[in-house]
Amino acid sequence: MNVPVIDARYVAVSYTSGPFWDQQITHAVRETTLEIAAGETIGLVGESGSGKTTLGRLFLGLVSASAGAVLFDRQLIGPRHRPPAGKLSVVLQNPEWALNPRLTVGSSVCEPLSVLGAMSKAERYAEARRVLDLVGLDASFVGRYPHELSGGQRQRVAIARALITEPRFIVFDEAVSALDVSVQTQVLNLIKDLQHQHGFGALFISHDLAATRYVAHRMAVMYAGALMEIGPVELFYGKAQHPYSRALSISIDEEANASFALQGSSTEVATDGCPLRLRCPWSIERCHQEKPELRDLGPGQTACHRAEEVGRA
Amino acid sequence: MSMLVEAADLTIEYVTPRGRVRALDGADIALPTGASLGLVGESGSGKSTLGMAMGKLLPGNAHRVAGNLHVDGQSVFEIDDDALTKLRRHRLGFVFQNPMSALNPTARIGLQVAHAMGKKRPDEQASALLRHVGLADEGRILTAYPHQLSGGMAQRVVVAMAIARGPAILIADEPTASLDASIRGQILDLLTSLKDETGMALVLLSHELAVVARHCDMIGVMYGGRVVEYGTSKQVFADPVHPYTQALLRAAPGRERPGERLSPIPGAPPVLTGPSAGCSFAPRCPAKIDLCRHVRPLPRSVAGRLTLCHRAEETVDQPAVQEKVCEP
Repeated sequence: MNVPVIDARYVAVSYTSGPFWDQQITHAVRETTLEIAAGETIGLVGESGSGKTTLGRLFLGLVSASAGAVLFDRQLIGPRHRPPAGKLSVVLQNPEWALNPRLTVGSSVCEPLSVLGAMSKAERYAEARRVLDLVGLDASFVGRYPHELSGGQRQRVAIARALITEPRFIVFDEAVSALDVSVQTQVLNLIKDLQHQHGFGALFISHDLAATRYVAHRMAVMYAGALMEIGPVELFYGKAQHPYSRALSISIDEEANASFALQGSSTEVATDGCPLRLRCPWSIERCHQEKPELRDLGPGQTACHRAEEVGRA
Repeated sequence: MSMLVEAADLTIEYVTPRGRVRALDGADIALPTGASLGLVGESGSGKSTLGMAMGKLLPGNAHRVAGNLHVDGQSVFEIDDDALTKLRRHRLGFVFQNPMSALNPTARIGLQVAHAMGKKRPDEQASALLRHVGLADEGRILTAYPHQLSGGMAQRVVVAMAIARGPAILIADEPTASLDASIRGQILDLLTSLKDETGMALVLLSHELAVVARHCDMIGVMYGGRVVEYGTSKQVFADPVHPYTQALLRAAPGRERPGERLSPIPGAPPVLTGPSAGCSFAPRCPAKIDLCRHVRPLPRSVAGRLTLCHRAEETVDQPAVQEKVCEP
């Protein structure tokens, strides 16, 4: 059996705040189990504050888990267990902030290689030209500065920089959200093609369900730090089985069932029972008393007491 | 029919240290009373400039080069300051992208709402106004500061302030861009229901064609500082005529089948420094002919809507041209 690139087991992150006599605990990520295979993209959607970026940072070994473990290629990773250099990469939302404005595109792109060492400057620049070519930018871009490029070109540079060390796993955190609609699809297609060629595993984090389901193989929906639903992407083109997934699809599908529209805002999280129950039009008494766990329902796993009914509605 | 907003060949340039940038390059639009118009375009297409020009809320470096804009029967670029103040205060309402920067962080919501209503302090009418925009807990909200509200609640407060004096036109510039996906629908539904109730016109600026199509009667698609296609939502969304609208609908994720590959529009949107010689979409257009490069298309009525395309009749009659658009 194939070893997953990322194997997260019962991983959780919580932060404490406030003075020691009145500590508040915030659960950014609640016990989450997720595997990502090589060549597979998991699309992670959720509203702001749902913990999707924290989960991405966990998978990069940048935050320590307060419970559970994240394994990269069977090895434990975290701030105290540094992952092998160059094997994990990230592409962030805003390429203006991700690229150093004082470095040329060429030096930005080959910077990760100089950190790894082992290569001469000429070799590094040859490599930079090769990856820039992969992302559709010709050799003339090597000497240019970020301010001379358009948003789409900058994001291509950021992807080239993420790709140059041939990582096994890449996190795309809102990687296309800052781009215009007509350019967004160019970058999404690029990500799909590169993954096909290089076989890296990927976590594509976004609040935009439409863009995410277009690049992903499997989708994970997060609310208040917990996975609400996870399943093959086809499920999210049709009738997903969690009310929250269905509510998110109202904004993009013309035929979506508008009766799933949520009340209130994402700051309203129930502390007992189902975290969504205060906002969910489908909540019943059981949602208050019993917290739904992820259940295997054929196509995917859903954390909802009424998943079967939701899937039919 | 009298038009509430009428722009004719409106051309606006921004003077920057690096030269002039043309934001509007001869935009035409006509909005009847009580209708809702969605202006759709990518960043740099000129939709915000057109929307803000309706209240002459443009920065100091913006200059009108040509054309005219009439709002509520008055030419906004020619009336004096008093008339402009009256127009803004009594006839227009604005809702901006980020409610937190639209509200004064140092004043309680009640005071800000009262000022928007032209009063010294909040009263029963202020509470009623907040209830009207769907804020049930109005007692707490009136005494709260903006940072104590969630984004969705703050945007409702901004909407309440915008409609406080019963404007004839409500202009909303990306009112949901800074809000979470599940709140967006609530705010847009609120705007359209207020429009239906009060009979005011609604101008919604957005980059999402599908969202605008669901909430507005009319759609104006903007590209390169001009309105390239203008018609009812149904016409424009279901059966677009302009190659840009067609390409945009094919490129955006959301309507594809699982596993289907989308065809992006090649290249990037233009940044104009002067008048575009021909059609500004020509460099990216799969249906372009020589004429498109040299002759500016004029608005023509094709299949029930206005469009700026030399080949509009052909794209309607010959599906072959439409098919060509979807090739990469």
